[in-house]
Amino acid sequence: MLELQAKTPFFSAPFKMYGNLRKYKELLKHFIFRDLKVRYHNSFIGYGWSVLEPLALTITFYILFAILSDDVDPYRPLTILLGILAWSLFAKTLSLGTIGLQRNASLIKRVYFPRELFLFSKSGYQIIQISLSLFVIIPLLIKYELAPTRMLILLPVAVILISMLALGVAFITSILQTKARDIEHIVTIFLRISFYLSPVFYPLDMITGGRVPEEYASIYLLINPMATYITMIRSAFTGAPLDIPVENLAFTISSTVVLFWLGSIYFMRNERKAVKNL
Amino acid sequence: MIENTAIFIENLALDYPRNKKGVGMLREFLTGRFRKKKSKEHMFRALNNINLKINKGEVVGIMGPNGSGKSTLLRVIAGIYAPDNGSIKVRGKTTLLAGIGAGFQQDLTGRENINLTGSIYGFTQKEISNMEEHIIDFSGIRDFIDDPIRTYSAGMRARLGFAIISNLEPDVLLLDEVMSVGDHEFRKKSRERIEELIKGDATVVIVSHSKSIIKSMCDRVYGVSNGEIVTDGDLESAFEFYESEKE
Repeated sequence: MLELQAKTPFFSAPFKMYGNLRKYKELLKHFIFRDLKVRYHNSFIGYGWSVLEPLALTITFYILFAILSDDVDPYRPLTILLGILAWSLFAKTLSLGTIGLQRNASLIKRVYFPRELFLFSKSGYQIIQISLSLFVIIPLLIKYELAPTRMLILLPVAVILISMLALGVAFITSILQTKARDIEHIVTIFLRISFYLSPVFYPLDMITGGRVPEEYASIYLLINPMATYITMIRSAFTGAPLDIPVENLAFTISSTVVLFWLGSIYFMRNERKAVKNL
Repeated sequence: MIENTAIFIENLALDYPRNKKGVGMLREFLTGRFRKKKSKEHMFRALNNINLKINKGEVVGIMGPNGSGKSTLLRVIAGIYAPDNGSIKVRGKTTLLAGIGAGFQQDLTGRENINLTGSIYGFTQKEISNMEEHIIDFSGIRDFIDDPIRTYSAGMRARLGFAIISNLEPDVLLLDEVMSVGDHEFRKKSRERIEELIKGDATVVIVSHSKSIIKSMCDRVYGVSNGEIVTDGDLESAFEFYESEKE
C-alpha cells in the first residue's frame, strides 16, 4: 500500500532508503542489466571497451611518466592502471548519478518507484564494470610475481567506500541538477581538476614521500579521500603496507560514511519536491 | 482505512513551482538561499483542500477545464507527486495511462522492454512472463518484437506502449484522456480493452472531456476548478458545472 504524507521523517530517511532497495531489488537488477546489455550488445568490441579505455590511458601516462619523472616505482604500469580503474569508478558513479533524475524525467512522470534506484543502479553498474575491467591486471600480476595476500581484503572495502563517497555527493547534486542544469557542468570540471590532484597516474608517495612539506601532505590526505582509497586498491594487489597514518585513515572513512548518511537524508527529503521541477 | 477503500485522500494540497528557465533560474537558485520569503511567490497551489474517498471497484470521473489540476491529481494518486499538505493512501498496484510510449529504452528489443516496463510497474518476473505473450499478441507487432525499439516506427512504439500498460493488471487504473493510438483497427481494439478494464475489478479514475465516455462508464463524477473539487459527485451537477465553465 502506498502511503504519502506531507513530511518525510528526518532520521529514518536512510533506513527507508535501505528498505526501498530491498523491496525493489528486482527492478534494481533490471536497471543494471539494461545498462550492461546496452553497452555490450550494440558494439562490435563489447567487453573490450571496458578494458581498452583504461589500457590506452595507462599506456599514455606510462610513457609520459617515463619521460618526466625519475621516480622509481617498481610496479608503475600496475600503479597507473589501478589508479585509473579506481578513479573511473568514482567519476562515473558521480557523473551518471548527478544526471540520474533529470535524464529519466519522462519515466519519473509516468510511474512511481523510489527514485534513489536511478542512482544505485548506476553505482551497481559501475561496480560490475570495475570488476570486469580488473581482469586486465592479471598479466601484470603474473609478470611481477604478485601472489594474493591478506591485503586483498582492502579491494572490496575500497570499492564500497568509493561508491559511498560518489553516491553521497550524487544524492545532493542529482537533486540540484533538477533545479539548475549547470550542476552537471560544475561536476565535470570538478572531476577533471581532481583527477590531476588525486594520485591517479602517480603513486601517493609522490606527495607524502617528502617532496611536499609534511603538514601539507597531511592536510592533502584529509581533504582528498580518493587519495586514500586509490592507495588502498593498490596495496590490495601489491601487498605493500598502507602507508597512511591511522588517524587520517579513521577520519577519511568516517567522513565518507557521514557524507553518505547526510546525502541520503537530503535526497529522501527533497526528491519529492525536486521531481516537480522536471 | 477500511478494507473496502482503494483511495483515500484527506485535506490534500499540492504546490507546484512556476516554470523558470535559463539565467533567471540560475540566479534564482544562487540567490534564493539568502532570501527568506522565496517560496511563496514562486509556487502556486495546483491542488487545494482535496478530500476524496473511492471504494474498491468504483469508477470515478474527473472533469474540468484545462489547467484545473485534473492531471496533477492523477499523478498524486499514482504517487508521482507527494502532497505538500494532508495525506493520501492508495491500496494496491497503480498504473497511469497517459500519452503514448512507456519510457522505452531505445537500444533494447521490444521483448526486453516488456520485461523492463513490467518490473518498473512493480510486477514480478513470473507475472510478467505470464502476460508477455498476451501483450505481444495485443500489440500486433510480433514479427518485430525481438528488434531494438529504435528501429520501430512511432505507431509501433505507441502500440507496444499501450499493449504493455493496458495488459498489466493493476488494482488502481488511472486514465488521462482515454487515448487513441494507431490505425482504426487498433483504436477500436484499445477502446474495447479500456472498457474491459473499467468493467473488471480494478478501481478506475478517468479524466476526460467527453461527456459520453463519462456518462457511460462512471459511478460518480467530480468537477475540478482551480485545483479544488467543486461538485459533490453527482453526474448531473458535474455536467452542469462543466457546461458553465465552457462559457
